[in-house]
Amino acid sequence: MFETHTNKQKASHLLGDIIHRAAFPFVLFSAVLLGLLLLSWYLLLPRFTHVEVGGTMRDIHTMKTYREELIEQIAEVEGKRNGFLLPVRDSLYTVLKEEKTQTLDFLSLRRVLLQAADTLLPDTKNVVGIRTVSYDVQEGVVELVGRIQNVGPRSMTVLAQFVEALEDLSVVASIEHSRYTREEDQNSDFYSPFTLRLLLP
Amino acid sequence: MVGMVFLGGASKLLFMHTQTIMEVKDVSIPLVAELPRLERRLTVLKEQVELSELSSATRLGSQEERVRVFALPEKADLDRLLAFFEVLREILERNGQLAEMSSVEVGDSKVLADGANARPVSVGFVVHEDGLETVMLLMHLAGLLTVGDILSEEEITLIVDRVEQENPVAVTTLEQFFSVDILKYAQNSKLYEEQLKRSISSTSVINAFQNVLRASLLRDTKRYLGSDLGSVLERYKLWPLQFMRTEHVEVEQGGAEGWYRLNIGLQIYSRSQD
Repeated sequence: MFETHTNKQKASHLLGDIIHRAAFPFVLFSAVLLGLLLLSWYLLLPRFTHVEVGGTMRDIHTMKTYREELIEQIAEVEGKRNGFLLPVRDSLYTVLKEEKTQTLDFLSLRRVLLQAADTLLPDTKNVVGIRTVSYDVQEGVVELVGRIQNVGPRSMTVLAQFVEALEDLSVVASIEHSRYTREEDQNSDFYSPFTLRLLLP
Repeated sequence: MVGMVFLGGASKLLFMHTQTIMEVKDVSIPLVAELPRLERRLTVLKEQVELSELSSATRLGSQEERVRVFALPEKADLDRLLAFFEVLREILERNGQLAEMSSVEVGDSKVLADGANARPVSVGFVVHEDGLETVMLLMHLAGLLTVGDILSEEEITLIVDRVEQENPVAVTTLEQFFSVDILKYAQNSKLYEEQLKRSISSTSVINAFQNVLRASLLRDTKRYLGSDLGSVLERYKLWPLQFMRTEHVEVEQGGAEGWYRLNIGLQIYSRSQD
């Protein structure tokens, strides 16, 4: 028992001695390592990570900031440049002109609608007979009044196709239409009258 | 203890070294490629603005004056408006495109929220298809001054982007094209288009430009204002027209094929109360 206690004492003395003896070299090593890494951080690394841009040496963070500044300046100068493309600066004129040009003009609108009517059944002439086109610009509503004709008893089906074709147009947001009927004229030909309200975007 | 502190500091520095090297690979290299491009773009834009400032001083002033005198005068010029409709009727009748025109009804003026003054005008026609298109085109062009005013924002952006990519300096020529008076363009469209095309060498950009010309209202402008109507409007000093906006339109099929009854309600604008 006395020997075990002595052995334990001897082991702890040994560990203490090792630590005591290794302390100074360890501190020296850590200090040198720290010093070298500090030198590397301030002297060596910048030589490989700094780049000359715009006549100045920049690190990654200043490059990011410089990029943001360039993008901001570009947007500002671009705005100035675009101002010269359309030279009139009168504010009232600009507002009225924008309101006018943002609304689809009747000429273009009518052409799109008539083309949809003409191409519905290309092999049959005069299928969609449009009697009236009216356009309320403020409300953004177009009303088409007419009839589907020259297609025999399937006039209601063709009317449904016409409504679908109009709904597919990018200039039309939605269509209000509720009545699908088939009637006969004095020559006993079938036709389907329609009144369509087209709501524009 | 001191050694542990030094070792901790060294570990941190080592970690920062690793991070920095990884950032160089992932962030710095792309930035280094992008920054010169951005710098070049900024330089080009600044040059364009300088050139535009030099050339636009006179142009801006005269355009602003035309807005104040013709497009948005102090008061609605009813004499000029009625003279315009008379000339329009005469030309369309002469060309066999108009059978009938109603009286021009002018309502009371009202002040709008933006300070402008507006008077309602309504007029009806019995016209052929070409006459209908002429009338509606003129109603849309009423008050607009230049080629750039006719084109939509998308059309302008498309052309500017394509021209800028090909030859940034040509944007100045593009500005000049956009500032051409509508009537002058309609009467000499080839001259102005060729002037612009000479500053562009790329076939794809020229094609994009031609597509915009074909698809936009410029095509109708050339067709209808490039005819005798444009010359007469110019001779009687009825162009540019006062600013008008269509409020409602009704087109009804006429008795004969290709003929229509056209009714239009407009607002005619001026700056202040009549």
